[in-house]
Amino acid sequence: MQLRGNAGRRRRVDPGLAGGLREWLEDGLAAAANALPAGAPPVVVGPRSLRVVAADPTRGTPDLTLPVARGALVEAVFRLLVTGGHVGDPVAEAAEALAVDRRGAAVLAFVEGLAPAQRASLHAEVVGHAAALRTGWPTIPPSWLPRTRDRISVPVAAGRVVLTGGIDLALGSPSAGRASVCLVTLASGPRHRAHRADRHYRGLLETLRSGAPPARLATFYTPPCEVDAEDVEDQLLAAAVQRTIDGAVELCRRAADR
Amino acid sequence: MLSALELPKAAVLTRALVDPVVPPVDPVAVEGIRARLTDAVGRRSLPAGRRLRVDAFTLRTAPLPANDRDPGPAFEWSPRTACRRIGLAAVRACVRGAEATPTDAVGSVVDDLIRLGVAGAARRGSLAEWLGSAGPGLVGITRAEAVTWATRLLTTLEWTRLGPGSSVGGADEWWDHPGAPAVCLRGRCDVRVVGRSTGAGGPTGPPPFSLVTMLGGRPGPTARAELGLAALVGALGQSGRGRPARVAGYWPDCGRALVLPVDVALLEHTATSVIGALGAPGVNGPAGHPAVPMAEPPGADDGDGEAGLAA
Repeated sequence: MQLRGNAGRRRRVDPGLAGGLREWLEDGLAAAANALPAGAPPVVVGPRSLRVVAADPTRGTPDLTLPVARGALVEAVFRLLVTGGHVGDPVAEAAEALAVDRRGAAVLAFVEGLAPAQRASLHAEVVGHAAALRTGWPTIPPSWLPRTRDRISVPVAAGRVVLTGGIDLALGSPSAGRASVCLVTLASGPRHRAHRADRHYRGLLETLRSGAPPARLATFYTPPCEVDAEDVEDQLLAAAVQRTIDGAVELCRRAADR
Repeated sequence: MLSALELPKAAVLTRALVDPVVPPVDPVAVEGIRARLTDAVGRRSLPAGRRLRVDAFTLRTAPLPANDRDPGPAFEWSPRTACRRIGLAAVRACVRGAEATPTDAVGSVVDDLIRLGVAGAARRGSLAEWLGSAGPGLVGITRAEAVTWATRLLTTLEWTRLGPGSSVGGADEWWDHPGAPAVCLRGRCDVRVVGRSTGAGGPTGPPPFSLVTMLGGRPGPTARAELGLAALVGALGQSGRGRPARVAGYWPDCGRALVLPVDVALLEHTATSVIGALGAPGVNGPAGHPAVPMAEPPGADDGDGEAGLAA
């Protein structure tokens, strides 16, 4: 219920909403994108880079950290659970799942490089998260069309800026006139106010991609297996547009200075 | 490019595919393109024993500077390379009504493949053999990738509006250069959409059809040629499956769809891109450098040839 909300209250899609948001973004980014050197690769904007820029405009995106590694391992466990319904040895299976791509392999190399006590502590944490997910994550009916790691990549400013984001879990069929999709972000750390902005950014991406805003946005915390969920309102998307413009302009400026 | 704002998107794309068909391509023009292509390929020198395959990947990467072309490793099974094959079988099962959801369908497909692999009945190098020997984490993540892939394709079209004879998956289209060197063009599509109206041959002619491909990322500068490749291979006509009336690409990452009528301009443009790719430095250059990496080898499937939607 928290994830899908009240189906009867889902809003009708305003056919001009997605186009209006896009125009706003295009206007806000035009000058910064035009200042990029000719032939430069597109500036890629994602939730992490936006968060870092918003927190401290002088910092770059951090490298791998212990929380990032934990997040990657827990996300792999989550995908296995949502799709297959069970996980035996969470650390071993998550490692197998991560080993298949470059980013996952980097996480595994980072974990391998930890001191034995740190590594053992991380493994114990992952086991704890998996146990919490087994008991605290609701069984999702296949009819809700659950799909994990749904990638979004929206080019703006004639492709000079690309807004990207991964959806840990998307539920619901595409809109046929009413908002219908719920996007879930998994958080393996404590609550942070940046999580709200992150999920709003993902809601904006989904709106730009599909032409319809999602019905619900949720962050699932594991543990304690709690959900922060909200209906998607226009003001929420408007704030996400402004924050995205602010962050993307700063990232463009850095790219132009390089 | 279809409107990114009109909803539901599946209805918009389906309508564009089954609308009355575009005029057929003049066969004389096709013969001209064939002659131009045959001549250009014939001028290409390849090391003895090498076979050059040109597919959408080749066209996409050929315009890049040679140093920026990442050939990647030779083909190997992974969740990413397996999800299309598993996903197509799953979507077929859902469209037929044999399975209710992508999750169920992918589960059945993967379980069947594992059974085949574990029993030792799978071909060497096949997906079934790979899955049969994979650990639970690898199988699980393959399943997850395939469910996402299949759900995207299943929600791309309004399946009940497609005409009889429409199909999901099926064999790729190939065109082999008739002489030396050994160059072949490969056109791939995920869904063959048959319209309900009659084709160019009048009431007795074959119904027109469109080819739909689902692609990753976002459309790039070579998107037109990438989509045109399946049309070109169909037009050159070795498979006997006829010429498509339209080709369409759908990029779910960004929600864009591109529908192109198959006309002389598209075929000419694609042939020019193919010839350009053959001439690009580094395409099949140094020995041992794969021309088209990450492409599934022909015959790597497990007898998943049946493609029709009919129950």
